Amino acid sequence: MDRRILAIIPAYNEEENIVSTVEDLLARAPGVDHVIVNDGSRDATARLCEEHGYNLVSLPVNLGLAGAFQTGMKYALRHGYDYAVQFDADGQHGAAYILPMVEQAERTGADIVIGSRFCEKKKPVSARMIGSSLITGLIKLTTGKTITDPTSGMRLFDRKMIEPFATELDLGPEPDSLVLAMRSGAKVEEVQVEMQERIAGESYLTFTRSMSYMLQVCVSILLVQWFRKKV
Amino acid sequence: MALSLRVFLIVAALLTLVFVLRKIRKSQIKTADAIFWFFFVLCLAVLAVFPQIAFWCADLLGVESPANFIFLCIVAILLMKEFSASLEIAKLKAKLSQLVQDEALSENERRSR
Repeated sequence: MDRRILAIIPAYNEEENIVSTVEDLLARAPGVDHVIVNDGSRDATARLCEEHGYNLVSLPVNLGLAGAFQTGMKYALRHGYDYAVQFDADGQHGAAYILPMVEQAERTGADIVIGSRFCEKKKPVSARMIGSSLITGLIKLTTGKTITDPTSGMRLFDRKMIEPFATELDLGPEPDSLVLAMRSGAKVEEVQVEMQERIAGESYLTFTRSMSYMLQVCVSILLVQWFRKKV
Repeated sequence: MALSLRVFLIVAALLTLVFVLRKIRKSQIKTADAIFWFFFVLCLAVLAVFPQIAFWCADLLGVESPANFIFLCIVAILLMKEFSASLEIAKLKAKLSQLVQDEALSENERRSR
């Protein structure tokens, strides 16, 4: 039990959720360190974190989710963590699942463990889930592996993965990065988790953003990733 | 090639030149980038003064009119410029995000010490 685990919590304008999220993490995932990456929030996110004494890395300007997540990975790399888990600030993810994900990684030797909503349960039918199934299909097509929940934002990375994700350009917390990692020899496993709907605040994904996201991910998986250098 | 197009090309070349020189004077453009625009202006002027070049090239490529050949050239040059600009922006973004990340991480280390 000497492995060190870091929860990376990218936060952009999350004053309504951040405290409950971190408290949940502290209560239900003992022994897991946390770092909140404040992505240039204009609300009280940073102040709340400081008041509560949370470990905060505050970006002076907004870099977007990929830049914020990478900051967390750099933190993990600098401080020599064995595992880093991507954890949403909006309270969607259950902190209780972090340790089971780590156990899965240790048991199976996986480099990436995804907290999947559909490992044991069926995907509900909705516009978003059709998109999710499409990505699952593309990943199956290009890597031969079945990832039931490729868009899950809850992902655990081991030491071998922390370095490329901390240093590579354009290796964001997205399904196409999973494909590149798998093609580079990373082993990916999934663990069944429950996720909550957002507690407060607005989701980032509007209709047009969802469409452009889907287009980007599909083209990236089908075309771009074949030409990238392996990580 | 109509005389009016030739006059237009020369005027456009002169205006571009004046604009670039003013930007140089105000130090708003780098010399390396200014050189591209000087060549661009030079090409326009040469084509306007010696339209035979455009005729010859248009014939060679099977383009109907020399004017079309000139448009084709300008579009091609600008597309290349646009592509190199997007490379440049990607590089700048990468540098910026690295700077921001390192600064934030150092700040975190200073505080926790």
